[in-house]
Amino acid sequence: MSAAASNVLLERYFFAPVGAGSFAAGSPSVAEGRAGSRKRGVAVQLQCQLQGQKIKAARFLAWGCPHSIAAASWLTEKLTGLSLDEASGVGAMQIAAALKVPADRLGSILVLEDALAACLENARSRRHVW
Amino acid sequence: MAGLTMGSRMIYLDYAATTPVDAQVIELMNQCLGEDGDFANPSSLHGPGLAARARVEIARGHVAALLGAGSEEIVFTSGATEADNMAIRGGALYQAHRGRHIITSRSEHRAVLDSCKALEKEGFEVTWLSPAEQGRVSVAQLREALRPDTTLVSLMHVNNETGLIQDIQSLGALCREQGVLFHVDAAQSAGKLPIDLGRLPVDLMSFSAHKIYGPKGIGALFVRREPRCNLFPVMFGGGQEQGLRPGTLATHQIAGMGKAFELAATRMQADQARLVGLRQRLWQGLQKIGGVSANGALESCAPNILNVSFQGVEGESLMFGLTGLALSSGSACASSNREPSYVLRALGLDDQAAQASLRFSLGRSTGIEDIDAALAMLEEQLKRLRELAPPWVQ
Repeated sequence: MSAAASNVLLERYFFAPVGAGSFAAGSPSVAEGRAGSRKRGVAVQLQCQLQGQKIKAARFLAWGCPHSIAAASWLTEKLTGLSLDEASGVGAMQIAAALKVPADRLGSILVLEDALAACLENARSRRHVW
Repeated sequence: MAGLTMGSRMIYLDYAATTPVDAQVIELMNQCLGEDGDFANPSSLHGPGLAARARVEIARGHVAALLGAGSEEIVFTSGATEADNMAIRGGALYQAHRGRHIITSRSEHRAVLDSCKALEKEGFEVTWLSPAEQGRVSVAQLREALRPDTTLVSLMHVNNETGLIQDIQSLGALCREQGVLFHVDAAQSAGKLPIDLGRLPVDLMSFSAHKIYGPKGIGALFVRREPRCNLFPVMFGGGQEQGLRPGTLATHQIAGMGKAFELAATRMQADQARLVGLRQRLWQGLQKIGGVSANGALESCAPNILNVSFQGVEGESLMFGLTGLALSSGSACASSNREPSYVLRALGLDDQAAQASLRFSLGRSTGIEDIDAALAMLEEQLKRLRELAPPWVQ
């Protein structure tokens, strides 16, 4: 708890998360990536709604510490409007720096990075995007 | 009754961690501090010293009276942790010529676990009992662990995380039959459950003042006189407290503890009847929300504690989300640590279930409106966090 104390951005994205939820299942324009598990203490599902090579909107579901929920929310906001190449450049360290995530919680952010990587890989595998 | 609030919204449900000091206790403590009060050293032989000594002995009498003990059997310490150290270390060292085997359980307070671990490093053998159903240590389990060289058994009366009440009568009877010292940490039970050391087969019992509306920094160890229980001192100095706990007696702290114990004696029955009702209301409300399980049968637990596991949420996020509630995810002594509760893990919960568990502990100021407000906050956060969780994670 102490690591989560007095962090305005953390509180903002944790208590009023933007991008929370998921897109309708089976939509051809939606790419999805999953990472983590209950056993690992963090699990994230990230979805990107694609328009050409651009991310039109992003959604997340997360189970984990406050940092993982807040970071997933921040990421959906960050991804919106980016191209897939630009999104590939968003990594754990950038997310951690933006939300002032303490070093002992970086593991949660790496799981989020894995979910993003899986989501982008899924996006690129969709022929209609290319 | 208005609940104890901290700031505009905070509801305090962490009375097992500590309690506010009762106003009557504060008033009495103040009488022992200033120039016009009984501030003198209770070991001094002049008038002011004797007045301070009288305060100490009155307090000792109140502590003893609540517990059915003799005043001469009460040794003041800095708290239950020191009392645990004194009992375990002092008892084991005194008995070392007879044997070097100690028995305790994995769900004890850190003060007991770490005292036993320290002795292990010094060549003592420790049997760590794994509590069985609901965290109970059975007489059969203890009997099996006893050896000819066992000299000390240490088990707590009420578990600080789950509230489970251990059957110290039966466990103590077995220890007495085998000639083994029986130490009980009663930090969570004194003043909350009836304790009659005149009848209980307990040789050493640890207490704390701040769990029952007394000040922090003061506690006591009961050391039985008949049959005589001997300890080696673990601290050395001025010979106070029968040579077991040296250091100038803290008159104000001791007087405060005495008053707290005196008040507990008069209030215990009514307090507990009220808390049973409030806890039942809390548990019924939680069951209505759903996805909860109690860590311990309510009828086997102290009436002020309810430990609950929440399904479908991660523990730290649940705690973080409950900004209006002051409660613990386990023992307050360990809740700054992110590790899941070792007590709940010892009861068979996996790491995630243990981490997603909260200890609600109610007290004198808790009212129905606090319980209802807490339930509303919990319902809101549980709904929100469960909706945020990926469905495939459960």
